Amino acid sequence: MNAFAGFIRKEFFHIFRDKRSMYVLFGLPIVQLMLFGYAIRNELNHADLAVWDRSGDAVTRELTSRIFASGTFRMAGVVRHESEIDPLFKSGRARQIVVFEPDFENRLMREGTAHVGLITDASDPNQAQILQAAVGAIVADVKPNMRVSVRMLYNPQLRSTNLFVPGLIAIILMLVNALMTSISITREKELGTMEALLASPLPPIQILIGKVIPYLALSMVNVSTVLVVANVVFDVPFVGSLPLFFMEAVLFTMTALSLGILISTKAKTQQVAMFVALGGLLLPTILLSGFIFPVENMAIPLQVVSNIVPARWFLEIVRGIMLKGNGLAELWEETLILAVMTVAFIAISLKNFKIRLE
Amino acid sequence: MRTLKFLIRKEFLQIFRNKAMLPILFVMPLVQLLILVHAASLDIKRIPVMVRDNDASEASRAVIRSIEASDLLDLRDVVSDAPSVDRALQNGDVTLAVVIPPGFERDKLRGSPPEIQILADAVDGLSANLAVNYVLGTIGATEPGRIRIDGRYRYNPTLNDDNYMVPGILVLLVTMIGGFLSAMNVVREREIGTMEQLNVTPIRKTEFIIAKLFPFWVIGLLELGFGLFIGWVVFGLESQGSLWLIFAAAMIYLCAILGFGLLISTMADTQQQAMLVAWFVMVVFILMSGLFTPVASMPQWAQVVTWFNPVMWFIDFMRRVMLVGAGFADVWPTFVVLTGFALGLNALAVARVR
Repeated sequence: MNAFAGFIRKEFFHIFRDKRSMYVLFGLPIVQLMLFGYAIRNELNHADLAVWDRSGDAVTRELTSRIFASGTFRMAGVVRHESEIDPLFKSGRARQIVVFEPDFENRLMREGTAHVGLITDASDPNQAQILQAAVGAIVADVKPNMRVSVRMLYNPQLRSTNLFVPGLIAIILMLVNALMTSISITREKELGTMEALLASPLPPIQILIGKVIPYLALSMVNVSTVLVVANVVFDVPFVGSLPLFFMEAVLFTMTALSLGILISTKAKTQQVAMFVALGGLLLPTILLSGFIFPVENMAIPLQVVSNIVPARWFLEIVRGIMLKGNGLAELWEETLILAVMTVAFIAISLKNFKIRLE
Repeated sequence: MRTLKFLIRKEFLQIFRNKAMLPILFVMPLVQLLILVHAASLDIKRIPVMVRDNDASEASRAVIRSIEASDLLDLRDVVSDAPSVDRALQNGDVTLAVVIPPGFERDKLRGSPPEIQILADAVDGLSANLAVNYVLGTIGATEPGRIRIDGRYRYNPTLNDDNYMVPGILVLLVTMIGGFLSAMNVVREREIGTMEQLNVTPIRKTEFIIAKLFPFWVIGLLELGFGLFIGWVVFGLESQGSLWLIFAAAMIYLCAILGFGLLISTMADTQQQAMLVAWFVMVVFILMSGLFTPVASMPQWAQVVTWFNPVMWFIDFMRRVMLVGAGFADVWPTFVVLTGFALGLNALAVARVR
C-alpha cells in the first residue's frame, strides 16, 4: 500500500510540475463559462431586418414601428424595388425582408385580410424559422381568442446560460479526462517507461488507478469552480441535492477516465491517442449530447446513435438535478446506464491491457 | 531546393508509414461529417404533450382533438389531476402540458374568452418558446387572423439543415486535423530527441518548417475535397458559388491554421502540453465561430472578438459561397483577413523556432 501511495504522489507531481498544462486545465473551464455566460446565446438578438413597404400607409407604418420597438431587431435598410433584395442577402446585411403588399390598409378595411410577406435568408434554417416565428408573432396576433397563461417551468426567464452550464460541465469532464488519461498512458508506452513501471512490484491495476486518481481530484476541483462561478456570477440556480450531484459527477468522471484507458490500450503513439480522444470525441460530445441541439429534434437513427454518447446521459442528470430538483427516483436509469458503460470500458481495457513486452 | 524536395518526401513517407494514423486522418472526419450534419437541428420534430382536462366538455374535447390531429404534437396522455402532470414534467416524459380549467365551455358559450393554461419545461428556453407558439397556433387555428403571414425561405426553401451544416462542419474537421497535426509535430521531434539531430544538419530553418507543414497542407486540401464530394453525393449539396474560389480561400486559410498549430508547437515542451493548449484554443474558436450559435446573437463586444477568429471568417465565407452563391466581389474582405492571419501567425511561429 505504501508503494501505491508513493506512486500516486509521483503522478500528482508529474501533473502539477507542468505549469502550462495546469493553467489550461484550470483556466479552460472558467474561460468557457465566461464565454457561455456573456457571449454565446441561442436566442434571437439584434437580427437585421429590411422593410419593403409597398403601401406606405398608417397601418404599415404602425406595424413597422411595432416590429422594431421590441429592440430584438435592427433596421438594416429600406427596400424600394425587388432587385434590391438579393444584394442585401448576399452581402449578409439583412437576414429578413418584411414586405407589405400595396394598398395594405384599404384591403384590411374592405376585405378584412391583408398580406405581409416575410422573405427570410434560410441558409441558416434554424435561425430562419425562429426569425419567421418571432416577426410573424408581432405582426399577426397568433394568440387564439382565449385568456392564455403560460408558465415556463424550471427556467422562467428562458436564459440560455441555464441550459448551457450543465452541458459545459459534461463536456469539460469528458474531454479533459479522456484526453489526459489516454495521452499520459500512451506517453509512458512511447517513451518506453511503461516497461519500467510494469517491472515494478506494483500490480497493473494499481498502476492504472494511480494514473487516473489525480485527474479525478482535478475534475472535482473544476466542477466545483464551475458551479460556484455559475451560481455567483451568472445566477444559474441549483435546485437539487449537492451530494447527489457530486456522486454523479464522480461516476461520470470515472466513465470518461475508463474511456481514456480504453483508448490508451489500443493506441501506440500519443498522436493516435489524442486524435481519437479529441478528434473522435469533441464533436460528437458537443453535437449528440443535447448540449446545444435537443436530442428529441434529431432523426430517429441519430437518436439511437446518441444513446452511446455518455455525455448525453450525464447532461440529463445534471439538468435534472440543477434546474428541476430531480432525485435518484427520476434519475436512476441514466445513472445505471453510466455505471454499465464504465464497467464495460474497464472490462474491455483489462482484456486489452498487455503486461508483456511484444 | 533539392534539400526541400527530399525533406518533403521524407515527411510524406513518415506520415504514410504510420498505418494507425491514416484511417484516423481520413475515415474519422468523413464519418463524423456523415453523421453529425444531421444532429444540429432546432427544428422541432415531435413535442410530447399532456392535457389535464378539468372541464370534460365538448369544447375541451375539441381542443384535445386539435392537438391529436397535429403532426408536430404527440399527445401522450389526458389526465384530470395535477400531480400526474407535475410528475410527467419532472421526469421529462412530456415537455408541455395544457391545462383546461373547469368552466372552459361555459365561458366560451357566454362569449367571454375562456381560460387556458400552458406549462412548459423551459430548461431549453428557445425550444420551449417555439413549442408554446406552436401549441397556441394549433389550438387557435380555427379563429381567423386578420393579417395573413406569407413566409418565404430563400436559398434553402425546404429548410434543410444538412445544407447548412455541411460547410461549417467541414471547415471544423479540416481545421482540427490541420491544427492538431501541426501542433503536435515539431514538439514531437523535440520530445523524442530527433530535433537535435536535425539541428546539426545543414537544413535551414525555413526549409525545415515548409517541409513539416507542406504535407499537412496537402492533407487538409484533400480532406476538404473529399468532404465537398461527400456533401455532393450524399446530401446533394452543390456549391452555388465557384469551387475555385473555395479552394483559393482554403489554401490561404490552411496556411493560417498550420501557422497557428506551429506556433503552439514551438511554445510547448511536450506533446501532451501542445495538445491541451491546441484543444483549449480550438474550443474557444469553435464556440465563437457562429457554427452552432449565431454570431448575430452575441453582444456587440463579443462580435468584435470573433473578428480575431479565423474559423469564424472561413465558416462565414464557405456558407455564403456554397449556399448563397456569393462571388469574389462579395467576399474579398475574407481573403484580405485570411492572408493577414496566415502571414502574421507564420511569422510569429518562425521567429520562435529554435
